[in-house]
Amino acid sequence: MVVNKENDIKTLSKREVIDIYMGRYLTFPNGANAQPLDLPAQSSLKNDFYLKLVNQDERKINAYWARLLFSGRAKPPEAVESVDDALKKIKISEFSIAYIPESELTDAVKVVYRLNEN
Amino acid sequence: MVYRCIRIFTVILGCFSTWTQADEFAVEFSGFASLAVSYSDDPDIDFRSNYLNDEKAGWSIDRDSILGGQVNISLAQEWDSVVQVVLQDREIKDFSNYLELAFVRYRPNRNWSVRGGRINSDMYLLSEYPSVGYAYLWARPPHEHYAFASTVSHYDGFDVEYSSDVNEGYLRVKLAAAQTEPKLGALNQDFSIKFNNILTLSTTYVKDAWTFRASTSKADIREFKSDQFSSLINALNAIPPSLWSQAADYAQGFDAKNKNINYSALGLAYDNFDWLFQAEIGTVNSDWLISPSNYTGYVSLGYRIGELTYFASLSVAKNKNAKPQVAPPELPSYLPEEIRLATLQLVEGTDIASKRAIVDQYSFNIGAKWYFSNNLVIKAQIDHFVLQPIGGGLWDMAAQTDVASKHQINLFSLSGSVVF
Repeated sequence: MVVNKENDIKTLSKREVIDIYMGRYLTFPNGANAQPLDLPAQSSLKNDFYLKLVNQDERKINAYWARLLFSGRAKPPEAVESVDDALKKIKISEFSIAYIPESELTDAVKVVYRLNEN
Repeated sequence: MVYRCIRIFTVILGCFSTWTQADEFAVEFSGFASLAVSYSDDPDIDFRSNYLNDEKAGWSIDRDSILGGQVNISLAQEWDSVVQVVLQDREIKDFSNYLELAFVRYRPNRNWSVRGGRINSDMYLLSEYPSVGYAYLWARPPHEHYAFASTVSHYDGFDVEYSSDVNEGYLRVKLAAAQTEPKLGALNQDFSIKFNNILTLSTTYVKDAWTFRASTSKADIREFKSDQFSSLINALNAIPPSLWSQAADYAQGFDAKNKNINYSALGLAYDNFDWLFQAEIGTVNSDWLISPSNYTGYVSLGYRIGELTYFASLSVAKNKNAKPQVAPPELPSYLPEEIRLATLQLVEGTDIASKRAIVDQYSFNIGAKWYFSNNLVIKAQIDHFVLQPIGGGLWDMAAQTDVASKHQINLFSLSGSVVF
């Protein structure tokens, strides 16, 4: 999980990542706005991310977000076109957070959580 | 009330559009729809999915078909608004019956939020999104439990919500104060009920694959506009006690004055990768003859194999109090024939009216949900309903139907639900 280098958050726990990506809270734990980014639909990266995070695949996540969106609770993460696109948005937005594969990590962003951590 | 809320809402929106900076103001549109064809096999007993919708027997394409549109408006960092309109087969074609949401929300911090306007209730597990077929397993929310909920699924007022992480789970507590005036129809008559002083307290706890909800709500029934029942009440009040001593009691029982209604519910859902379990129980307490007290509940189990999820459910709604039996009075022999006949007709009308609202039924269903694509799910479902004698209050029965007999009805449904 990566954020902008200017973001005050240093690390996140798995529970805090779930809170943001499942629409429970609209902010980081310090109260700053959080704008989660989602990789393209039907990509293995997106599917794997949600399987590891909450043991749900993309189908279940879509139904989950239909419930939250149309009950008026929250809007789903903003969809981006690619990992590159996610990294570009992270660089220009202090509020964005994204999941990317470790192989595409650059020095331009800050790692706050690794999915293989507990 | 709803129009006053909309006016206030429009003024607030107008203010925010000038107060907020351009990058904070955003408008997003989204929607959902279900196209459903269904067949109910008893031509004399019409099915309706909830109290607000039209009733039909036989084939129907609009019984469960729905089109919903939503606009999310970001006003500022802590302020936003949601408006949702849902087109469906409402018995009364009044705009208020189609407006599901129109609220402004303020989130002062991470844990608190306050909403005002037309808000949805979270009394039951599905009551915030009963129209979004894409989001749940069945062709429609379980009939016995959710047909009651439709009249108070949204209301006009405000709510305050607190959420927090508790013991590795997520806790949400909400208190709402509101009123609502749903417009209904039955037996070819329009009527409306005004629920005042609605207070709803609900709490939801989510941990891993489990969701638990408990809620309770009370409402005062203030106005009941029905020409049919007004005539009945007036006629009952006009009968001298010496002719029929119980007439005044029935008039008082049908009259909405000083009546109130209480709902309470518990819900439990388990949703891991392949297994889905969901159960709810509810109780309705009311001293109003037109909305008698009930127990409701359902249990549903689903199992996913690949793109298909198979499910089966059992649902029950049962009257709490004894079924009424209006005993004809012993009329004096000197009574003129026309008065005697009119009195006996009134007794019969009172008997029918007091029995028609009683709900005593159960149903089984089996079905499958096919995840066809990212935005489309297709569902097939068979329901078998058993209406106990004097228990068909959720259905519209033809005049020749014997309400005192047991009835069995099958309902076949095929639907496609999308989000966009």
